[in-house]
Amino acid sequence: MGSSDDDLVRAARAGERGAFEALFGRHRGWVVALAWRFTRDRDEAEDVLQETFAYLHRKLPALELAGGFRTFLYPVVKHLALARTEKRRRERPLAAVPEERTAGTAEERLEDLLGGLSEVQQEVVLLRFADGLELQEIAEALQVPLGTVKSRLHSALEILRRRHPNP
Amino acid sequence: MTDGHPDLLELDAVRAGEAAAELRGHVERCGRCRAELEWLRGMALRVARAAAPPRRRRWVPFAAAAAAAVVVFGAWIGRPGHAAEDIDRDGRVDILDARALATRIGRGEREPAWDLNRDGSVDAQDVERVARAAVRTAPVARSRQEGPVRFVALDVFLDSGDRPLASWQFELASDARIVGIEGAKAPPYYDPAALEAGRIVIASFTTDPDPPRGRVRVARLHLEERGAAEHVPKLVAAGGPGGARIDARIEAVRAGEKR
Repeated sequence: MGSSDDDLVRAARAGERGAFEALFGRHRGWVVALAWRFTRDRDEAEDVLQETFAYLHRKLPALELAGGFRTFLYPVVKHLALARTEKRRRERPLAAVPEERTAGTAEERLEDLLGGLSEVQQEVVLLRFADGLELQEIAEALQVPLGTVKSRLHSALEILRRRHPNP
Repeated sequence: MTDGHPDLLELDAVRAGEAAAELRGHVERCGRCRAELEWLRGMALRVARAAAPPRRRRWVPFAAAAAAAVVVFGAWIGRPGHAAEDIDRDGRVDILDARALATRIGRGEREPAWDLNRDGSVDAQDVERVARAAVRTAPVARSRQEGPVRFVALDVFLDSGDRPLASWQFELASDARIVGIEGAKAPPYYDPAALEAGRIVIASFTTDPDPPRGRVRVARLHLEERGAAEHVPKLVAAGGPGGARIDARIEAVRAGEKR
């Protein structure tokens, strides 16, 4: 039986180097996948991974997990990914050069699948289906009431069923 | 429950293994609900697959590069002849190539050979590809340090005198573990895999027509140190706005420490 995230956070806070590395190893894939959803760029997502854990490292001395580790990380990753994307768009010299999308990319498939949903509905569906979070965890990650999550997910599923009756 | 059957949310709880036994029992007995559940499972799988990031390009393994006799300690992963990313055809891939490509695209120039990711267009993604190639770092062993952990910030300065500095690339050999990297304005390029290694290459460029001169802080590195850690920066390349290589002096200073 491995240590829980809570245990690892406590151990890392106490200066146990292996604990931080274990947290990194356990969640790096999820952080990259989540960051990629916002950046649509694998390299950017990898950079967000580093920034996320650098942020975590800085916060560690005072960190107390109120909920799950991923619900704590979700807004951090989202913020860093969106900030990075926006910063690149503004500051990179080629921001004005449009990035053409290639037919058949994963991005298009995701857009095809979730295209009829609002942004907040898409976010809930992705946290549920792609990340496997429980509804309460989604509520904590998004910092909205549980009822809001249920309402968004229910309406999203109704729309998906109409749009994709035969997945 | 609606019409005596669970709604989609309740069925999704069954899919996720979160439902009560009574609800699971109903679904097992009810053909309509089983069909709904199968639809949910299929949709969840499709979304999860579509949401997965593309696989990372496989980098040249260190051993393979060594076998090709192009790797020495701390050397770059090299290739015979001109690499596709060697935009200025000077026999090496560095950040000056990324800037050269950015500048040419900005002027409206296009060449098929610059479509490095072969997506049918020459654009910012190809520049990114060149920059990533420039900072790609072969792994080296970092000496293991003992002692209590200290978190420090290390500022890296370049001084190009009265010459404008439009691109720069340096490498840092360090005993410390790098936990974060900030650029002066835009995030610099680096190989995330090298954060754990004993050496990292960091680079950036600007196409601003009036880049900075004199002593400029180009990056801040957040480090986790143990014991008497040593950090040795080395300038790899610096370029002016015209693309020519220029000389610059590099120094690494602990944040808050005056020089």
